[in-house]
Amino acid sequence: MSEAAVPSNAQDGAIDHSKLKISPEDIKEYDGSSRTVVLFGFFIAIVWLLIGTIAGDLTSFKFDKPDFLTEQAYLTFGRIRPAHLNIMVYGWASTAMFAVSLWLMPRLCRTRLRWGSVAVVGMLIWNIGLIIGIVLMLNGTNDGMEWLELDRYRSDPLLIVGAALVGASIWRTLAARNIHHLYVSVWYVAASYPWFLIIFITGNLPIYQGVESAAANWFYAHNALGLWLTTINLGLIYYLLPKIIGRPIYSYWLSLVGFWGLALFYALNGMHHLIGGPMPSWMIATSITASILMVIPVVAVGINQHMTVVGRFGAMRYSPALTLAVIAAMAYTAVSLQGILTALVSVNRITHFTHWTIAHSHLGLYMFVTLSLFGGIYYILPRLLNKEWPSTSLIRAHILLAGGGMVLYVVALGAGGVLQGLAWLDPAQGFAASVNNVKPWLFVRSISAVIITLGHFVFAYHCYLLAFTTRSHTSRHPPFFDIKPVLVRKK
Amino acid sequence: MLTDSFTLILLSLAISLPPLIFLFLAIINGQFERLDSTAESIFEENELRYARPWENSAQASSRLAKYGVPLNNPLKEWEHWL
Repeated sequence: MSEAAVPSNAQDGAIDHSKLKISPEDIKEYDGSSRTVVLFGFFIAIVWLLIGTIAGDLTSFKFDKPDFLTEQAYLTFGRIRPAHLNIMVYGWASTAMFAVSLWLMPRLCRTRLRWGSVAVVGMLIWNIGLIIGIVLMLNGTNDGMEWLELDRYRSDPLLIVGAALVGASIWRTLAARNIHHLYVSVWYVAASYPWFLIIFITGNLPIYQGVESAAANWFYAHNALGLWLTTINLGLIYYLLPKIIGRPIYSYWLSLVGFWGLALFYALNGMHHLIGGPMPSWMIATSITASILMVIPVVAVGINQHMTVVGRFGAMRYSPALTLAVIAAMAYTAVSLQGILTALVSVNRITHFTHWTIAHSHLGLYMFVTLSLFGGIYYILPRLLNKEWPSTSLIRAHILLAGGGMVLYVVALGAGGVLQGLAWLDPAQGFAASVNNVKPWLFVRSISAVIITLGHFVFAYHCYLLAFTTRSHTSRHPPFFDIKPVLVRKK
Repeated sequence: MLTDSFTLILLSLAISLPPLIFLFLAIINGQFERLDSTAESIFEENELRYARPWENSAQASSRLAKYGVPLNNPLKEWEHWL
């Protein structure tokens, strides 16, 4: 930061940010302070990504060939499926999100990362807890609730300590900030850590019985998506879009509406997963109402992000990070509106318990969360390693395989799920008919899973080339330079 | 039924009340003032003056009018593709 601009009292409300001049050298210093811990987090996350992807593939294949790999108990559907979910949520996404938050906070707070070694220890403890939980899960021990399968006595306490330590580093950095006004990404990232700890601890308390445990289960699972996975990634997108395009966010006020709307309304959403279940009707009605209220923050975020990029979609030709961030932002709006619609009783009546739910969750967890994290990694790694990605072809291959594969996945399972639900509602059709209806769509899902897997291995290989070899890029143009998007305005 | 749902009410309050308190604290603390400069706080010195190759002439003129004469990005980001 240039000296003339350093305020005498850095947290004085009178500071005008436009007068705080931050130099590229300052940015390098902030990045340097988080370099080790961020690289460590990304490395672990990518390892989990590959393991979780293989587990997902095996799960998918078992729908096509139910006898596939059933000799060993640890490879049976009931164990490999929750292993896939937990590895992707806690291993891949959460660890990558730790890294992203630890990189973002120093930049946004204009200070060096504080307690970086505490964050490293936290990530280690988190991952040890996850390994223990996954091994127990494959061995047949889990807590029996979706998203909360990790063992509550031997695994979950380690995850809690791990997240708390990473969160401590985030909040210590926030406390040491050299600015007064917090950029919207700081709100999202900093709030995510206490939210995660509250929902994860309460979701795992061994006090719930019967119906209550189902309610606590969906209280946790839905909030894990909305108050953990969503928040850090929205924070990342709110940073990447304006930064790459080179213009401030369209309406900073709308971005705050989006954040506070989510903070105030989201917590009650989860019960819409239990429509039709033996729950008090007021609870379901409250949840549906809260879900519909989410239209406000979702539309606020959607309009804001669209208006920031509109007229400049051509920038996606220059930056793979922006390409992924834009697709992720669109997916956030799509999955949120889809979720609101699914909360309506008339829609839920058809889609509940069907493969539609899996398509919906992958639209959120993959098209939004994972593509956003890929975008973050494409942006962050070259800056931390001080070199370019070695290959445009590998970036192109990764984005096309992962993005195209997931579009196929969501369309196939979404269509299959609706057909499945309609068959269940038709008394003239037996259960076998609903199975036959969905079989071709499940096969397409398996094909898309293989395509996505190829994309992930290409990505991991490219990260390896970037980090561990001296290969430099030779291409004159960015990966999508030759593609002229339809949304580019003529000059 | 109420017994079953009481815990959920507490859980939802535990999650929803702190944001409400933080919202009031943020208002009192002046976090919602100077929104424009906060939106620009993520940019480095002169970053908004860097020419962007994808911008049309109207967008480039708007940048010139708002932020001054365009500069070359010292990191050459758009000549490569970081």
